[in-house]
Amino acid sequence: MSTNLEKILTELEKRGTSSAQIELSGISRISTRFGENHITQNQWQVETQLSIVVEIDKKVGSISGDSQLLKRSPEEIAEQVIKIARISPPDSEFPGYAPPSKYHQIQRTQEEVEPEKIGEEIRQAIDSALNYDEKVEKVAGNVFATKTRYHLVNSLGLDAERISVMYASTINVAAFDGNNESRSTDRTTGIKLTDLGLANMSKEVAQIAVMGLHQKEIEPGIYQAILEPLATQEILVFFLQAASARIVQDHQSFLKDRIGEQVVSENLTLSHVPLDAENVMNREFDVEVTPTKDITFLEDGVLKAYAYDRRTAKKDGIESNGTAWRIFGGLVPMFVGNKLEPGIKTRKELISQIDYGVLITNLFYNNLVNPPLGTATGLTRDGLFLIEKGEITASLKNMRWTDSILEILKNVEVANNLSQKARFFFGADRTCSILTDHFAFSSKTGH
Amino acid sequence: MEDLANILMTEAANQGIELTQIRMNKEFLEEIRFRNGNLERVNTSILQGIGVRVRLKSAWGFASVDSWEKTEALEALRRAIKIAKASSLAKRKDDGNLVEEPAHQDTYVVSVKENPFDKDLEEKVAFLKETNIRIRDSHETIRMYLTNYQARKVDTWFFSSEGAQIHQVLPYTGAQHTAVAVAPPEIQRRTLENFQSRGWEAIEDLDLFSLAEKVGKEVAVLATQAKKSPSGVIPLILEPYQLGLTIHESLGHPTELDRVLGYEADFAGTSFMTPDKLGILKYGNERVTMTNDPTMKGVLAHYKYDDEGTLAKKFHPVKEGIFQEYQSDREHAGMLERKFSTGNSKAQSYRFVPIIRMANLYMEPDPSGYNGIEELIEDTKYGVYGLNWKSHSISDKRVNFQFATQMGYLIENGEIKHPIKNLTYQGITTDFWNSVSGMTKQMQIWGLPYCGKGAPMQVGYVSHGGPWTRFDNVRIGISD
Repeated sequence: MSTNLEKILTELEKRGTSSAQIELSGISRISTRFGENHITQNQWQVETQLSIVVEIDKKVGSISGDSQLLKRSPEEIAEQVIKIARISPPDSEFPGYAPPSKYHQIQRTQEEVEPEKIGEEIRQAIDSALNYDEKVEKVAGNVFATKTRYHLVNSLGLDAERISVMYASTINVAAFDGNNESRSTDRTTGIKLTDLGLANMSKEVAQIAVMGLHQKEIEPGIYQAILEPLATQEILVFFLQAASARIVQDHQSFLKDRIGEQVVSENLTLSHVPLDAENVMNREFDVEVTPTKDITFLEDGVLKAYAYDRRTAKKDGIESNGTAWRIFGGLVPMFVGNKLEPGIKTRKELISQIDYGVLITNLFYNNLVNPPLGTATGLTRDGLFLIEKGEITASLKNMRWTDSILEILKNVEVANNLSQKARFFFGADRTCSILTDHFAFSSKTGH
Repeated sequence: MEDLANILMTEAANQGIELTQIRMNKEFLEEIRFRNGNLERVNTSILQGIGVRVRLKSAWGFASVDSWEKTEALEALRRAIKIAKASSLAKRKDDGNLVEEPAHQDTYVVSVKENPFDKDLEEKVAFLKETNIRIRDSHETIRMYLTNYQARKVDTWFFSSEGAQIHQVLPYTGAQHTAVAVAPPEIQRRTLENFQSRGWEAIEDLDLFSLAEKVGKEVAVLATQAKKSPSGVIPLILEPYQLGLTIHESLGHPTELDRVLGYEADFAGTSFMTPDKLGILKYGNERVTMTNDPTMKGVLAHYKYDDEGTLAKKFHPVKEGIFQEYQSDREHAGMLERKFSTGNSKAQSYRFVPIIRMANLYMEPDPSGYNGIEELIEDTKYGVYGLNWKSHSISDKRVNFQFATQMGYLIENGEIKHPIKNLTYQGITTDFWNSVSGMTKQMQIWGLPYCGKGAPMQVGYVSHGGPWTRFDNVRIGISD
């Protein structure tokens, strides 16, 4: 335990708190963005986040801040947080803190790179796309290199620390042919910068952008569709949100009261795999320092489990399953870093099964229209293609989709092309292309 | 502060940096949240640090650190310069100039009637608990009820090697009530909120007890009485909050100049409002005039200077239907050879580089329009009236959108016929704004501390609104 944290904890105990917990995280993040074939923004943020929670006879209060808070004396910190706790009404749902436990050991690579190396990789990625075809005109994207040091101590004797390094990137390429524009996007993530394979990814995105030129229009309606891994992930994210006990308890989940039921295709098996070293989101404990474990929460289409943190678990009379995450400052249980069990067939074989349908590389601005029913809407994002008699025959203008998540996942086959994809907002999963019998386009987008 | 900034700017100049901008923040935040009558979070936080932005041969570098110590600030400068050199490995072919901005030297403090941080914390907690319980007590079908309160005070000092020295103190205060009603098989959710650039008086004006009853009673109506929304191409009336969100998505984002020029393609997308359309595009009909005005006091997105030290301006992105102006910062205004930045460069905190953000963006009411929503409804033979955001989705060029509202009413022969649920409307941006057929004389502005933009994502404080407005020929209803 660091001296500072130890002193604060000692001071809190000395002043008669029933229990206390201190969370300290340090982040160093280089975020490089590029657009129009050059680097446009480049930031290097170094920050500390400190959070102290105390409980006095079920009255709970907290303070948080950056390193300025850490520089205050333990006495001053203790006085302030105890004052907040004392005036608070009792929190009858306070779950207490995690006790010390044994954690699995994960062998983790920790590679840090200099910003110049990132700049050089980006320059090569831009060149790779531009050199692919003369129709490629614009390359945009970003690379994030994040090193996080996380340390949590509490009055139960828990003292846990983790250091992780993660890289993520998005590349967007625009191709032009006269008046016609086509864009394509991909996202990836890795434990090392070289895992991202930026130059190759950029070339592949450029290839799809060029393929996407000269779009035809199709009519709204229900289509058979191949969802590429990024599009599959966008749909699965809704499923994962609905499997959060917080969403279930708030009556906002289409998976409420459905544990043990066949909710989607028997070809779908989804596992939360925090102990898998190949998963970039691997971790031996969650942000509450509950030990993590691998959980197959959807098996052959049958819903097996919700994601629980300590608070939601207490409410349902069970134990946390180590899935607490801090998202936008709040604590939410969520399966993050999941693996979709791959199928046997290749992506090409799935395409060959479609007589008339579409191939969707990416989906954009997807939102639930009616959370308890699981109706959602969104758009295809550059990279929509027509499939006729088992072959890709044309590129298509983007479409708006509006459909039930459960309906999309009802009749599904999974390809064998497992790949790790960064989520649009937060986290990563390993997903595959899927074939669905039901994908409803509700309108044309006009571009 | 000034001494530290001078040390950094001198050191940067010694290393050949052309432009240095120093931003120091001190931010106080207080949050109280009740869920189902239970205090879920009471937290105070303080953030204090420095952001250093340098420009070297048209390549930018930015670094931040949560300290005002000289050693750590100099280390942030070193990292910013290193990052700028890395940026130059793939830099712009031309050395584009920033548009000029006078080097302002000023102090601007938004004064409040009652400082929320001075109010007794125990009283605030007790008050918010009572209002939270009032939601539950307003109807038997309510199963989840949430109350959020937030007060924030941000002190910002801005210095630049061009001579700017600006100190701004901006307050933000607001609250939100949410209720979920369950009347099987129906489940409905309702949220009402407001956030302003004011003190505790913003909470008093919001009248959280009345708001709690309104949230509770209306969500119960949705769950127990509301009928299915009609579908078809019919007139739609929006109240100022939902109108504001529609403006935010379909005008605010597509007129951000960084997005227009391709610099948000990796995340947020691009825009159909390309430079060839400036001054030409008939964005809406002649009734539609949109105003961006961060100088308006009291609204959430109020400020006097943006985070590049540019004086905030009132301007019209759309005037009488014609697309007139982008929101810009100094670099992107220079790229398009505009004469000035519109003063829309904002950062979430010292931790982030400033980016183009919409501010207080609203639609102008019609001085000869309807005298209130009642009169507007009276003059509507058939249509729907939508209130408050439930969900939205919009294409990356901002052409095609779909919104859902929390609450809705069917209008027949100039009267409210009955409440409706799950109201959605879809449109093509320019078709939609060219279909405005009437609006009220009155307007409202609402504050939303939620706008996400940038990578890594930054949260922006925006405010939007306008009059109660009717649109003809809108596609209503697409799903359950």
